[in-house]
This record gives sequence, C-alpha cells and structure tokens, in this order.
Amino acid sequence: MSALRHEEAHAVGFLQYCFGEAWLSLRRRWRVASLSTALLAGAVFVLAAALVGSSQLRDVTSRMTEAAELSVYLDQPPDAGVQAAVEAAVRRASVVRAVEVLDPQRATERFLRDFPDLRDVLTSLPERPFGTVVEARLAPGASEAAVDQLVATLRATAGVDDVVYDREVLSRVLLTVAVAQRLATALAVLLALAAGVAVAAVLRLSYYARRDEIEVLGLLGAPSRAVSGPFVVEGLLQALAGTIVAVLLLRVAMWSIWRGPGASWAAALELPDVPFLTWQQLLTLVAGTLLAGAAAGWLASREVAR
Amino acid sequence: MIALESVSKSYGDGADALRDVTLTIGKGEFVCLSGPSGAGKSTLLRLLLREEVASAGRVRVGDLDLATLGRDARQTYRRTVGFVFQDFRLLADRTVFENVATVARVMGVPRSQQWRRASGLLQQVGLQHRMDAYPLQLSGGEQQRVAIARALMNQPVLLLADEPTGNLDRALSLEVMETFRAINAGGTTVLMATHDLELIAYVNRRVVHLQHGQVVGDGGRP
Repeated sequence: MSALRHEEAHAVGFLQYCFGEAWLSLRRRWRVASLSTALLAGAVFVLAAALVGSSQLRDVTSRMTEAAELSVYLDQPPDAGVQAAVEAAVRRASVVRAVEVLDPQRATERFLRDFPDLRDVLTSLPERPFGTVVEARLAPGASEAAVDQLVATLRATAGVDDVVYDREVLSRVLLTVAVAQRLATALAVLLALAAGVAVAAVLRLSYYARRDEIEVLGLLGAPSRAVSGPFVVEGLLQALAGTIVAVLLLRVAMWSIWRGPGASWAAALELPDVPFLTWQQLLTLVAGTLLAGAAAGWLASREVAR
Repeated sequence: MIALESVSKSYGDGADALRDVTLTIGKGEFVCLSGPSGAGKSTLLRLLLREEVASAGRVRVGDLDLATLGRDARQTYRRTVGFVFQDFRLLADRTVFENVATVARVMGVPRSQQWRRASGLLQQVGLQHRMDAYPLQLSGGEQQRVAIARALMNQPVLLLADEPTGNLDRALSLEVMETFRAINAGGTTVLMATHDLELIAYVNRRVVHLQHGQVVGDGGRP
C-alpha cells in the first residue's frame, strides 16, 4: 500500500480552495475588510485622477505651447501713429509668423466669445475696457531670448499699455501643473502606503484567526502554498474590489463635473469629450493594484509564519 | 522502515524526554509503545512526525533522515504519515467531513473524490451520519473517531497514534483497534502509544516499553 499524497491534485481544485477560503475569511471579517478596501479605493481614485489630469493637462499645455501668442494692448484713445509704429516693429521681428490687428470693437467681441459668462460684467462697465490690440503669432522655433527681447522693446514703446506674452502665462501654468501633479502623486503614494498597511493588517488578522487551523494543516502535511494561497487571493480580491470602486467613482465624478461646472472650462480648453483613462492606463492601474494586493497577502502570510 | 539510532531529546529546561533510544521497526509491523505518563511516548511520536527534531542521534523513516528534510520535503513526508493526536486537533469551524478531508481539500482534490474516501472512512468509524456536524456537537469519543478517520484519509504508509482510545469506552476502543488491525493488514506500519494494558493485551503485538525516556523493554507481548 502506498500513501495517497494527492500530488496529482488539480490546479483548478486548488484555486477553488483558495478562493473559497479567501471569500469565507472576507465574509467573516467584512467590517475591517470593507475599511481597508475603501482606503485602497481612495488611493486608486487619487492615482487614477492624477493620471487623467496629467494626460489632459499635457494635451492642453501642448496645444497652448503650439499656439503661443503675444498680445500688445495700446493706450486709449487710439492713436494711428502709435499703432503703425508698433505694428511695424512686430512685423519686422524674425520671431513673428503672423500679425493681426484688432480694433476696440473686435477686441471686445473676441473677449465676449471666449468668456461668455463675463458678458454682464463687461456691459455694466461705463466705458469699453479694450483699446486696439496687435496680436502676433510666434514662429514655432522662436527662441525664448529673442521673444523676451521683443517683449521688452514693445513694453518700453510709448503708447503701449501692456504686453501679454502667452508663454509667460504658460510657464506659470506649467509650474502650477507640475506642483499639482507632484502633490497628487505624493498623496496617492501616501494613500497607497496606508492602504497597503491596512490590507496587510486585515490579512494578518485573518492569519491570526486561522492560526490553529494553519498549525494543524502544517502537521497534516499541507504544502506552503495551501497556507499562503488563500491569503494571496484575499489580497487580490480586496485590490480588485478597491480598483473597481475607484474607477467607477472616478468615471461618475468626471462625468458629473464635465456636464456641470466643468462644461465651460472644457469649451475654453477645447476638450472634445469627458476625458478618462486610456485602456493602457486602466490595465496598468488594475495590474499594479492586483500585484500589490497579492504581494500584501503573500508577505502577511510569510511574515506571520516566520 | 523506522530506525532510531541513539536518539535523545531534551528541552530548554534541561529535562530529557528521551535518552539514547535505539529502536528499529520493520515495514508492516504493529507496535505498541507503552509506559507511564512522561515516559517519552508522545515525544517519540512527535519526532517521527518531524514536529520536533532530535537533540542527538538520528531518526530515519525509510530512506529519509528526518533531521535533514527541508520544508517542502517535510510536508511531503507528513502526507505519507497518518497521525492521531491525543487532543484530536480538529478544526472547530469545519464540519466532520471537512475535517476528515482537510489535506485532500487544500490540495485541490475534486470534491467527489474527497466525499467518496471520507464517507467510506466515516462509515468505518461509525460516524457517517454525522458528516455535517461540527466537532463541538460531538462527544469526546466521536471526536476521537473523526481524528482517526482523518489520519487514515491519505492511506498512510505509517500510522502514528497517541493514546487513540483515551476517550472511548471499551467497546469503541476495541472497534478502533480492529480498524487499526485492518489498516495494518493492508501493509501500513502502525505505532500506537498507550498506557492501557488491556488494550495492549487485546492487540497482542510487539510492545516497546518506555520509562524515563529510555527503552526498558522490547518484546512480543506485554
């Protein structure tokens, strides 16, 4: 007679055992498991939102960079001599690709087209706030130094009220965006760490609750994978649930914002539709989270078993 | 089959549980380990399960030197051994069926196969009608029979039993002995620790007597 060691056991049966045990454990400790899953969902939500925001801001800033303009606002009342001198100086500059002159009427119309929400404010003013504007579209390869020199020259010209250079605004925007991205990433990392600790703690609790059973399993000859398997699956299930909740919440949140308060911003920034994660980003996010959940389960079982 | 060569086992407090024990048990033998409490019977069985390692000497089972087994090899070895624990070690939140089929379950053996084997064993120990009960719903004797069925689940080549009839009445004890005899007749080596002299007499096989951690008698009959 030889021992029946079950070495021929099926992988499917083993997976069923792991999922069954993990599900049972989650049901038994559903309160703490829900808490850690919620924390995990929060971390994934922030990370996914940061990813979406980064992608969209990259698109917007890229378009803004390509369409960088230099606007020269002339003093009121209009002076034909000043306008001609400024226009000539701008046209002469090698960094300028095209020039357009807007009289006060057209300048006002363009402002109202870009910012329709401010129509009431503008019409309530006693006099029209805009004078003539000379707008220059810069050549794509224009050097920053050359443009800075042109801006300085124009600002020093008599009859010029102000010179607005998009790239100056753009660099401020880019700086703000970079800071915001770093903050979001730091927050996501912190939340991910907190979620990891929470998931590992739940799994450790689960391990301690099954300590007697695990000891008996060991004495009966159960292989290590039979002990760590259910914990890995438990981590996976929590990670999966957290990711699904986070992605759904983000989708709903973005849809609500884009249909509500974000609609005018979307129009101003010429965003075609509600932006969301690409499939690649989504797959990376899911794979990363599942891997982290499985690792937390495996580490928890190894750490306590030591 | 089993060879203990000058085996000693001492614990941190300096107490010697076993002292210079040399013992050989052949394949297919049925051996009773007798002796008073504290004689070292349970320690010897734990060494053979590789739950503990000898402080000195060598414990061999078949071709295996148990002290040299790594974790995976140790677990594989344990799956060839059936062990009836003195305190049963049943899982309180699992049914009788799940307890008996524990190892098969964690190895992913299809449930139909688990069921077939476990129900046969439970019928053998007279508990087929309690398959869905939980251990705490059973009497001490019933729990012990579940532990015996679990030990036999893997068709072990070596069956180790630590006071397997401690909670059973005489009639059930004799039934369990008949079960062990049947298992032994199939080729499984049986090593049973007990201090019940009547049972030893009933079994009527080789008896190794331990006292103060030493073998003081090794003979065919009590």
